[in-house]
Amino acid sequence: MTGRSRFAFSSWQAVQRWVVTGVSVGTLLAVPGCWDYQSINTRATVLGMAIDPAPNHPDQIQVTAQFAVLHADPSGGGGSGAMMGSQASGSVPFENLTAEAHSITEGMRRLQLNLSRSVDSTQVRCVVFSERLSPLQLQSALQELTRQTQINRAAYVAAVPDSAADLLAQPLSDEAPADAVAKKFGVAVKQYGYYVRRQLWEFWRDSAQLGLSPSLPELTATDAVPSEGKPRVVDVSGLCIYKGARVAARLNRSDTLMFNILSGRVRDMGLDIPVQEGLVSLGDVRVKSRLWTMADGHRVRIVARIRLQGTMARRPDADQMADDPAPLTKMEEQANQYLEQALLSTVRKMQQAGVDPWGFGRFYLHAHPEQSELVKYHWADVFRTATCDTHVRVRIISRGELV
Amino acid sequence: MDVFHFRRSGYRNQTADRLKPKTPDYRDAPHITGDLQKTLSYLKDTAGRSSDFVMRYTDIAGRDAALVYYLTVTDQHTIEIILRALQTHRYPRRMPRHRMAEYLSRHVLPNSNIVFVTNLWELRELATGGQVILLVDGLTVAITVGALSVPHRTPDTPLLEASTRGPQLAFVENLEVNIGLMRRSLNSDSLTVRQLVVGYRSRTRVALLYLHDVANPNVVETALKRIEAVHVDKLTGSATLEQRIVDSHWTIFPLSRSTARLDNCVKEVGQGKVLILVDGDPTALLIPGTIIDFFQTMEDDQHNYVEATLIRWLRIFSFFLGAYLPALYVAFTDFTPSLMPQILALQIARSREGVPFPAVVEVLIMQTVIEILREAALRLPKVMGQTIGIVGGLVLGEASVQAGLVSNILIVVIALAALSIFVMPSIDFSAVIRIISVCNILVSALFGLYGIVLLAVLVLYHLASLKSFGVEYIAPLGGQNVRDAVLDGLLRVPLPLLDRRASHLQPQEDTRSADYTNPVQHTMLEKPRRGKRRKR
Repeated sequence: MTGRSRFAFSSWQAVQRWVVTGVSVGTLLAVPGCWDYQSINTRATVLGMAIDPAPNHPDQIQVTAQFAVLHADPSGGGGSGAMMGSQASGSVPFENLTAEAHSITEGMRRLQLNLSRSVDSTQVRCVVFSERLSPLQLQSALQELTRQTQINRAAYVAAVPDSAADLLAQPLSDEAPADAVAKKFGVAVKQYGYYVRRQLWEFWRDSAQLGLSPSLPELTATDAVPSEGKPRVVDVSGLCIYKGARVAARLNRSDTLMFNILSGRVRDMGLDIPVQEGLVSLGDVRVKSRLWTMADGHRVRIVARIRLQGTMARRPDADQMADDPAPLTKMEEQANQYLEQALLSTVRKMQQAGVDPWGFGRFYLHAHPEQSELVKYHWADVFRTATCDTHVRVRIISRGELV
Repeated sequence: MDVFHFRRSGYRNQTADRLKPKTPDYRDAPHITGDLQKTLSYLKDTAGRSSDFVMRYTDIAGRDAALVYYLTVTDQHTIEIILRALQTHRYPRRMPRHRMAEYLSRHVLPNSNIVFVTNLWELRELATGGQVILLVDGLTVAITVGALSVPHRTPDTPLLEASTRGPQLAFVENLEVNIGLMRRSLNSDSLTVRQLVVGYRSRTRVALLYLHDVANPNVVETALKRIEAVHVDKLTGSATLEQRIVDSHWTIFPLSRSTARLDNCVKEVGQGKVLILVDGDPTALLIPGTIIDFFQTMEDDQHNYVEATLIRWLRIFSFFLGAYLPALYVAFTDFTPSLMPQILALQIARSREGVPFPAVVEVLIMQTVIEILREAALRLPKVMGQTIGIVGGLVLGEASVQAGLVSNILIVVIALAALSIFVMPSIDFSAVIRIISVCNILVSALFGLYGIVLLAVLVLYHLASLKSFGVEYIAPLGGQNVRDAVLDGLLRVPLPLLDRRASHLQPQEDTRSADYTNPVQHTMLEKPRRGKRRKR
């Protein structure tokens, strides 16, 4: 290569380099995420949302958003509908605004008109649905929430029997109601088993799955101290199970525990099991379960194998020495029988209601993918007549007693 | 006309297109002819313009002679000894002229460092360097005797690089003292000293110290050639030399490690690095410098391996805090608050209520305040420096929050970032972190978190492209020297396991210590004998 051509080649390389650099920088600066300046103080952060049917318009929903109040003296504002303002006495002031609309998006837009800051729902911590929502309203609200990119899909969802907006307006001791709900289902209580927690994406996923009935924890506001009116606490009263976006069954707390035992979700909790001699208390209870479904002639058999392990906390026969293993084995057998009966009772309730919150239909579909039509359209009937084979094996760890 | 002529790479004539100083070339200087008066008149015309230039006349064996020296840089006692020796000696009656210089050096002058010089330009340079010049009529050589005497401070504890354990000795401004300290610590004849003179006016002495059987000869040769190629009128210190001899003049990263601590230099020279000392500057340069050097100190070897490793991780963590925390505050506050935990976001939002500035202005205000305080504390005397720290930390911070200029969470962010920078053992690298921090703040103000990531990629690219005297600057973290990166980089394993030198420096001898085996395992102390009682 001659010297002249080498210089020409190097100059072309230099031009290429600048062009590549320019195009790269231009492309990078046009990538979404760039130039998205919006200061934190220009946002109205939504802590929680409540979706109710509109009281006066059956075809509309009532959207209630709970906003964090950043300034010391929250100014009033109102939604297009009835405005509900409230402020907690503690360190987290909040403000509830309500609007009636055909959709959540429209409702949020109406709320925006009454705010001097832009609504930011990317960090919404909980969404509460009223059980009085019609199936169409619930489905459309759920789809809208999951479609919007500005909604936190990891928000906890729950249901209330009456007004969801009332729950978010409860005067709690030191926190906003949305915070209280999020803490309830978050890391505040480590023991699983007392209730079920659901996030928005999980509820949407369960609603879209075949052979599984979606469920939501049911919330109620109760008095912290029964003799006084205030403060109140948000409590989980049980589990409500949906069928076609309509509440088909409810589980109380004891049934919810059985639901969790069957699902294998119980960890690090105490449990009292009645046996013949009295009540045996177990601590550090852990449950592992294995569920499957199989065809049994013209019917379907649902099978559950559960292993429950706990440490003996209190013996029913406290006056006897614990050096004999025979009573322990007997207790384990009696606990097996009790839990099998209780689980069977819970499953029977669900069968009668025609809902399958554990997803036995899903297991059946995995084994028999050719019968997807059956699972899609007739699983409720199939589940209702299914035979239940539940086997519980309780293991009680007794470390003896100090003599 | 070739417009791309300036892009031509390859051989470049080192002297053809350079500016040349207007000092006379030493090659044009005359030599001593033997005529004393002529030589003295030349010296009068050149060096004699200074008021501290002295010519002391005397007789030696019946010949005219003169001692020439600068009064301010020579030791008067040495001059008196020379004069006494010259004037009291019994010279032989007949002494051939051509043997006189040798006779004087062998039998008369009691001094150890005697040099014969013929060139008058060299003679002038030696005189300014503290030598006493003996000129004798009829001799074509001058005898120079070393008599340099300039006051200097004694070695003391380092001012900037404090440590909690180990040697507490730092270099001083005197080159001989510094070389002596190194010789005392590295008591081996393989420690080689190469001295050069840089600066055609300042004639500053520069010394290279290295272990000739350990250091990579290419590094030594490269350093020598680069120092020899430095043509400046004066060399004011090691920093100006460093900026001229490093591989890249535009980078903000220090390509050599500067330290004033003796123990640091001893360790690194033992590793195979080359130490550069400049006369008049207590700060030494260690080459090649890689990025991992700025997260290590000699103090690491003084501690348990767990403690040393944790301290290194703390430095790395502090580096990221100092460089990225203020920028992340801006990015999270102004662009992506949804990436923060909601409670933290609300706390920040509440603290910023009423602040009239955007987050970037708020951060820049406080960064500027911190920089002003830092500079003020550096320049002021110690006692006042502490006062400035208290005033800045407590009064300014509290007052600015009370006045609503900045948020209180920002004070925490800026204070944490400022303190993190001081965790770095190297002052030079601390300055780099501050520059990176400001750049990060600016890009985060424009592009948010995305800009910080882009700049981090750019910095990584730049780091990977740097070299220091042939060694990759990012070594040993670049992936080619995993052993160095793990054993004595990110971790510091127990010293008996560090039996090899760092391979990324490519030393000639990589064995640092033989395999250590404990010669006495489970020392058995003598047991008291049973059945025999001690006599009282």
